[in-house]
Amino acid sequence: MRRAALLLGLALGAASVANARAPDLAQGRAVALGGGAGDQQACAACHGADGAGVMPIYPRLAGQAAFYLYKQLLDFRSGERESAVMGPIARRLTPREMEDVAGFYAAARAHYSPPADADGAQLQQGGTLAASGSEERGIPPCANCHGQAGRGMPPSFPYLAGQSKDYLAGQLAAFRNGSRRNDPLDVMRRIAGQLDTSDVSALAAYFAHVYPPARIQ
Amino acid sequence: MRLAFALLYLLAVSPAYAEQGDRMKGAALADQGRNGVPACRSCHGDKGIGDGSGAFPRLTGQLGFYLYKQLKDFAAGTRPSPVMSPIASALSDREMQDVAAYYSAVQGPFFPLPILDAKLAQRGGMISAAGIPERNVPACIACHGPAASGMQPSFPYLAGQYAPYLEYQLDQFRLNRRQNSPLNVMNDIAARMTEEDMRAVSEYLAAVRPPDLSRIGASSTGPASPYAGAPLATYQSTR
Ligand code: HEC
Ligand code: HEC
Repeated sequence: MRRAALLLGLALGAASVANARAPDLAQGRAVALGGGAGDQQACAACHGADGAGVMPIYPRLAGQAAFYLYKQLLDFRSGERESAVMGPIARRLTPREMEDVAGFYAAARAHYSPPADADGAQLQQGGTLAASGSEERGIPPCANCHGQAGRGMPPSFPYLAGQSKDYLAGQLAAFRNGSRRNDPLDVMRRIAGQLDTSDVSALAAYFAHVYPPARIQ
Repeated sequence: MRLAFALLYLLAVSPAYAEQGDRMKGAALADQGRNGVPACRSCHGDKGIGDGSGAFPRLTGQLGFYLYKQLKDFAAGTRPSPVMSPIASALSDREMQDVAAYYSAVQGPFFPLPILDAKLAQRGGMISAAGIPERNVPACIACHGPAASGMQPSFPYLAGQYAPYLEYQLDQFRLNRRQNSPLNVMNDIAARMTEEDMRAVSEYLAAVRPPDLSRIGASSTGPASPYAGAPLATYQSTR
């Protein structure tokens, strides 16, 4: 019941930032590769032309839900999600450019190669927490919202699979310390508050090793 | 010598499992779970292929008797696992047979291979095929079958299994936390391997794709997977 209400709330939250017009992918590509009209850096310099992310600190955008990406850009602009890098970039984009570039990266397909280092015990700890949560510690399964194996549930729940360890751990820390407070109904801030450092490393390592959606051969 | 005993022992105990599980019921349990049992799929993925991470083993097409025995051992505590022991304890013997029958019969795709360290993989290939004679480590393929693709009834396939998972299990054998291999063969073997050996052989085995055995015994009534319920005799006569 509680969960149904929560999911409904999240869905309504999503509807309130409705982007009615279909994104123009060619314009989105122009922004990604050349920056927008406002003279910002090309997104591709950090996120890659294919959205794979050129370094572990830059999140993977390829195939992420367009609505989620668009909402992040709005939140960087408003400061609800603080980022010294993305804040100024987002503030120079027009809403239309945001829609287009979000659509472009949502449609992108990018390579993925799992990180070389793997600790089987840690992967299992993270994987189990992700799939089953921990009832006694009040941690819901990440799969409830982020989908099985972190594949995401568009439009509002981002995939986590295939994001880098550093990025994931960084976001969990940001939810925890409140510098990221753009999650509807505080869901992620509450969950992040329940996780200890070993959970965070295990979850981050696990999701970093899971193949992002649509990469099965 | 020891190995020969293990083989005999296995052949002697295997009839407990009659390959009679109901695949349809097994599929329902795997995909939906039931009250008190989570769906296997939530960790083992669609058709048991996992999620690419290596946190959870691939079950797709694994030997039915082997899977059944693991569930028994999780429940009995000879293979303790904080995740699997409670789940296995909640299953009835019948359900274990059903779900084992399902996974042994199902086929599924592989995730693309990560970039391999050529030197490491080569060393792993040597260990798999020839063992490490100076330390008395036998070749994996001696028991796990040609190309480590499994040997009925109880030697699981290792080819195509996830590297982090294999490495973790070898470590569990080495530390004697996993004690369910007949006469503890695997514990003895793992105790004679270095961390580097385990790493190398795991990376190598994960990259081996099962040989195309699809023509062997293929018929409309034949097993869905080359690893599935084929009796030992068929295996030998067609090879
Ligand atoms: C100088 C490097 C850099 C450039 C250029 C850049 N980004 Fe980012 N981007 C980042 C970093 C770093 C983050 C993570 C911010 C944080 O810590 O929250 C990020 C995060 C994001 C996110 C959030 C992703 C998620 O999963 O939540 C989106 C969306 C995004 N960037 C879009 C863009 C777009 C569109 C452009 C081009 C207009 C762009 N970025 C240009 C570095 C960059
Ligand atoms: C009740 C639903 C819910 C559950 C359960 C949940 N999340 Fe989230 N999570 C969200 C939402 C919604 C967002 C996106 C917030 C936004 O709009 O920026 C999010 C965002 C995230 C992000 C940021 C992703 C990015 O690309 O920047 C991470 C990391 C994350 N969650 C990790 C987890 C982990 C780990 C768990 C399990 C321990 C978990 N979440 C469980 C709803 C949930």
